Amino acid sequence: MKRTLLSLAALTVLFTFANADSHEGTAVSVRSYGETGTTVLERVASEHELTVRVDDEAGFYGNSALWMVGDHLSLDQALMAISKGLGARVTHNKETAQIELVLSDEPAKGLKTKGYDVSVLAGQFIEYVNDYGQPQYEEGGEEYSASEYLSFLIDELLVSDEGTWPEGSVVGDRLLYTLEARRHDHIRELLALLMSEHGGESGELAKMRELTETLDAARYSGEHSATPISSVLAGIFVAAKVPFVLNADFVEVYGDWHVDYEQATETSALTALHEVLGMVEDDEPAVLGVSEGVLTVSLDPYTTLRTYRVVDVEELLQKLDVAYQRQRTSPGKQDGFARSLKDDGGVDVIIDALYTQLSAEENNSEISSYGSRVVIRGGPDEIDAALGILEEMGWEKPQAK
Amino acid sequence: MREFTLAFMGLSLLLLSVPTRTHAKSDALVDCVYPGEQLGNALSDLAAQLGYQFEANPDDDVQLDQTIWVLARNAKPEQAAAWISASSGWHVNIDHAGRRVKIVEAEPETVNAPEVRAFDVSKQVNDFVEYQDRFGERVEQEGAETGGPTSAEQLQLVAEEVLDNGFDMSFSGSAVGRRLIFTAPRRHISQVDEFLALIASTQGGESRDLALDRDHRAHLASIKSDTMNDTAPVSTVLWQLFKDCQSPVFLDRSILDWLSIEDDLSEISPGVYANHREALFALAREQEFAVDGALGAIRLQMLDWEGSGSYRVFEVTKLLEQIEEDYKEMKTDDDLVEGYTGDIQREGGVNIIVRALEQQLENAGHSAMVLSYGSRVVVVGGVELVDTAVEVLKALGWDNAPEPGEDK
Repeated sequence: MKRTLLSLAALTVLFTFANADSHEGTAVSVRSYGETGTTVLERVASEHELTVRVDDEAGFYGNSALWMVGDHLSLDQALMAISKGLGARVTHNKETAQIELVLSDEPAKGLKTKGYDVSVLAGQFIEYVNDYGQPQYEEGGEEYSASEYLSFLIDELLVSDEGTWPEGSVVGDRLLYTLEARRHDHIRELLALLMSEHGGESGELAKMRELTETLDAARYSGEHSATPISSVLAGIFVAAKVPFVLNADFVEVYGDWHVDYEQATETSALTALHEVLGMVEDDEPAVLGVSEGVLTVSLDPYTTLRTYRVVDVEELLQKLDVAYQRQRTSPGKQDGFARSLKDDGGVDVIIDALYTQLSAEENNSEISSYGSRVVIRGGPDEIDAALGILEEMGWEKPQAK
Repeated sequence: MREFTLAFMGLSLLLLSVPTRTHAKSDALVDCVYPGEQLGNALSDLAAQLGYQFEANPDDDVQLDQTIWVLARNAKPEQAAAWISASSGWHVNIDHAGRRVKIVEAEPETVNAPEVRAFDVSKQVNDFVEYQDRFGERVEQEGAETGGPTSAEQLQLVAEEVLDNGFDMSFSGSAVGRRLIFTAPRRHISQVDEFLALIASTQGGESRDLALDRDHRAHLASIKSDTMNDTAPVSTVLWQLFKDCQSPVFLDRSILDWLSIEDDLSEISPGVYANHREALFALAREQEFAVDGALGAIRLQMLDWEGSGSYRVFEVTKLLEQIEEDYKEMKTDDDLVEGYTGDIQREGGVNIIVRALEQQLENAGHSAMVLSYGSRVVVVGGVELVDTAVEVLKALGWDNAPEPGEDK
């Protein structure tokens, strides 16, 4: 097995294309075990009758090692994954029939301006504030409208892969964004989940759940001595048939790391993956994520992670409101209680409790809210743990239809 | 008889030759094939085409060996002089009486006979006051609302900001009651006239320069070639793009001071693109310059935040009404955390739209000048920028379709 993996690492790239229904829909398979980005891109391009243009300033990234395996990807999916692997922007310019490699901070092309009518969400937010909003004790604080609060949430959750905010404009109850189609899809998805009666999971969370379940079900064994960690990880992903890319930040720090990993008896590929990732330094831990259907290994904790779940806690708030009322004592008593759920912060009562309990489990999920909608961001296990805590608070999981 | 015939022919030739010389000012057309030419050579050639002398300025500051870029055929001499001026940064003057082409240091107002014109702006002022009363941004500072300029002065300031291009278009306007008075060359007065008419219109509209720019772009879109470069100097790509273009083109001084067109390289191959309009977009993106229409020509420039005759006026009253309703509906009860008690006036009135336009145009890669006068929003720039602004406004819910019976 060790020999196989070493030869995998040395092996350059195997490259296949599935049936091509049309030029646009051609499925791409990429297998790169440390080959340079430019080499891989040229191969993709030649199979699609495209050419490659590497911007002068991005030459360094074109020469970087790419660790990625993915089958039956769309061209855009493959290029997005390659972007992550190289740390630069790789796009298909249909106008020039070129695959372009440019710096990640280069302005994106093909931007569209879209306005989102968020009046219904704003209305729900206002209803929440009127029902549960904490009284304002200090005068003169800055006020924001319901749609502005929503734009803050979008900024927080939908940071681009390059780390930029969507830079929206708020005009009345419309939000305006000028972005690529893919990022508009992310905004639409978030707004739809916030509007949904029971919230729900983001597409990337569902995909990550599917891929980690595949990893968990796959069996893996191997013996590695002083082997590059990239090669060991690639072996695990390949054995589980899970598409992956090692992000540029991970490769830059750990690309030359050599590890000893022995797993003589078969175990779950997910367990093996966690064991290998656990070998990196504690102060720069590796994080699993997903981007456009491909599992990613990066050092970026949550900044660009779009795996989240929206939870509607309206009913829980109602229960808590009653619970607060029942705890009220007569006024002016020693050890008495006269506050309400509003006084204690409304939804913040739930969020504070969530954070406290999650931190006890060393769960690093991030939590935001918009009115009675709570958004939990993290991996599938972390989010499931957070849902478990919510259930303990009295939240009821929506019944599957 | 033969002598008479010869004498008659000689007289005829003489008569023919005289009008040809005296009509040089109005009739003669010139070719400006100066793509990367030295200023001195271009002016000598222009003078030669007119049968005039080029009178070099003795002032040492004028660098006659500086590069200019102008490409136009069958142009009026005054237009040619304007393009060369913009490309060189010096004022070129054609002195028909003295049969000279010369560089002048003075401002153009003192060279070309200025015109005095008063504009009655009652309609624009009334619209502005109506806007202010309903949507105008509330001033928190007590008494501040009485210290600002009058509505007519505001209009004067906006007109100057929109049209003042920092080079040959400067104004000395005065607001007197509900009149604006300008003393400027006829071309400038004409631009003020156009601007005030568009502000007065309940439909807004495009300036002539913008409309002409649209025609020029359509022409560029009709040109295709299979020219392929690996990498080439910017000057080469410019020549490839414009050599067959019938529309006049010039590079503004702002771009020639920024780029070294002979030394800076481009990876743009015109043949890769669907047409030369698309290839020009790509070159502009690559070299980070803007394209618009000015002085009747396609202008390549880097005049971010400078005024221009290329702009569109948008009327946004209906959009403001809609936004006003939005803010009313977003009010919560008083004194709550995350509560909201504002309204459109507190949020800035039309400035809400101006800020959104600026932000989204910036996101789309444009450095735009966006101004407002009451419920009229002015977006200054070329076709792509203005069309992106339309896209942004439509995304906001702005609808340009005139209602039946509305004036245009």
